[in-house]
Amino acid sequence: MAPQSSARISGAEPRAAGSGGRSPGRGRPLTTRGWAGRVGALAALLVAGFAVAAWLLPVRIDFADETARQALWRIRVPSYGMAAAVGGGLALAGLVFQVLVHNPLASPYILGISAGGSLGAVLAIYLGLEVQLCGVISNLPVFALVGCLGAIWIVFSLARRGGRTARGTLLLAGVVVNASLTAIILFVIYRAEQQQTLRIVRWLMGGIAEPVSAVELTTAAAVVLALGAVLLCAGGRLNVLTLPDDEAAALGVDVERTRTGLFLAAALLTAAAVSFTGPIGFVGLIVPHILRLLLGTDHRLLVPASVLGGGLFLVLAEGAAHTIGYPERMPVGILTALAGGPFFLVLLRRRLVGAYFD
Amino acid sequence: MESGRDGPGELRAASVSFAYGERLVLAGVDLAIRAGEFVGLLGPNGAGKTTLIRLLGGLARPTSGCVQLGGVALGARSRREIARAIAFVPQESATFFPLRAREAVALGRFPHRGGLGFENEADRAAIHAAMEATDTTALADRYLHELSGGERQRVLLARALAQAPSLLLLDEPTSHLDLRHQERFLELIDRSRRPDGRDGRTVVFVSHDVNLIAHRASRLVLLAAGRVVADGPPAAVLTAERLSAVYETALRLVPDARSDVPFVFPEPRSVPHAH
Repeated sequence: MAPQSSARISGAEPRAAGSGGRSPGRGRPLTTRGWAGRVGALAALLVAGFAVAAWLLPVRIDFADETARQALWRIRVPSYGMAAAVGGGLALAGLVFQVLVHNPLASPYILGISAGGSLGAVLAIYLGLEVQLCGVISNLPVFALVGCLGAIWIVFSLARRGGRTARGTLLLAGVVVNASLTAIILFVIYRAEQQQTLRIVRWLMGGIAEPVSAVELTTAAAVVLALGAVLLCAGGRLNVLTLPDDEAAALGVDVERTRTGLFLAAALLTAAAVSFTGPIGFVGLIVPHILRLLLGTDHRLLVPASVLGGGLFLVLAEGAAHTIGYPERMPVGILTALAGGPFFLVLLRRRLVGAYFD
Repeated sequence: MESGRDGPGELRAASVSFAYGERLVLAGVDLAIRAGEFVGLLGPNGAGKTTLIRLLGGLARPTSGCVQLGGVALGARSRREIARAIAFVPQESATFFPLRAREAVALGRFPHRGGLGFENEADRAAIHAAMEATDTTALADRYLHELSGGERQRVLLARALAQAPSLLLLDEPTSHLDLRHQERFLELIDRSRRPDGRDGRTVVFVSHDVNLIAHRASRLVLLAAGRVVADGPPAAVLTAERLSAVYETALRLVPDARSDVPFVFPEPRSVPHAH
């Protein structure tokens, strides 16, 4: 809370004092038109970013060339599509988790879900259970998904006591489960053969595996769109849930039930994303913060904006990572972690993010 | 007390008890609050005032007994339904994200909105009216965390009024305010109790400060150790013996020349009387 200064009591000039200058959202009421305009603009940006990335990155597609055109549709569109779906899912999950635990540091990975998914995938690799179905589709996402769901179940039942989920308990349970599962992963890596280790470490970096099949892409996109639609309807409730529990309840939100539903939705989004690509870092932490900076704190807008903005972010990051690593496909998780950290620090340093959490 | 014939705005606690684990906070409280009353809920620290007001607002469920609004148990109503009838103003609020005053007030319309929850004309009108009524219109674009304590409490009141409730529950909303802002806040409550053409809004006001509330309330409820020890018009509830016993401090009453409700002051013990 800012210290109270007597100079401000007069309060005559709106939008003049203090940090009012950065004015995200400008405090204007959100109208249907304003909402549609911003969501439309972000959607257009996503489409443009997608088209540019698919056309130019890592090398320009020559449309006169038949093989190049085929590569565009068979390789680039599915892999950038996966990047868009996973980025959108992670950003949305991060947004929801930050509200759920009232903590700006929350990310989709803070509650150990990704560690569970990683353990599932790592064990599958270690035990040699990985197979290529029909020659292309790997069954690794299935093991990762099982791991994610297991971790969700553990965290949720640990945090739940007498029909209630306390914020602090949820956070602590998540952090501890995360640490424990990570320890098990390290043990598995320690026991693994060299070749397996390489494969495991690669998976843990987080990246879009090549090639992305149509089945994988549709599954990921369907999960993100379906849960995105559900969460879109919960935008108003998310706004209310940023208040202390008693106030949220007094404003008409069934806090316990809503929180449980939101937790499960965000957890499933995370599980879907991690299962297909491994834990890609920073997207879920940084995108919600950037969007709050640009658009304000209204979740009716932030929910669709996170899906679109997260998608755009990861499409561009994937394009950059692919270009840097070309002809290899560098795992995009390396780039997001490498660039995301310093970028976030700059925002923090300039007090653009988190100033109000002091 | 008549039974089962509660009016739509009547809030009734029937032998309500509440325990945190083994510790009994409220022990069989009976209270019927009629529409339009201004009830001051008084009592020493730990008497159970906050617990009682949370139960009255349906924010917690009684361990035994039940709270009814208009003859229907709060537990049988949805949260949203309760929020359309009962609003709650806390002692202080913290927002996790920077929220502008107008956005905070707009949250009061949540129980009235459907679907995606965009504001319609009625919502905008209610928000505008609530901000006008609390003198917060000029603060609309300011962040809550940049406001002074008095301004912030007025915004919280505006949020509660935007809910268009028939009952207003306030849990020590003025305890961090200086005298001027306390008075101003109470004036706003008074003003908001008489919205044009309608019956007065019911107010339940929890306070530590006997003198602040005794002269405003139409009825005082004195709570001690989880029980109602006195309930009635302020002049009848405030007696030196009763208050001294409840607050475990020697208290004396000073008559008010302008009303039959006295002021309450502690009797200084060590200072010799200057006769």
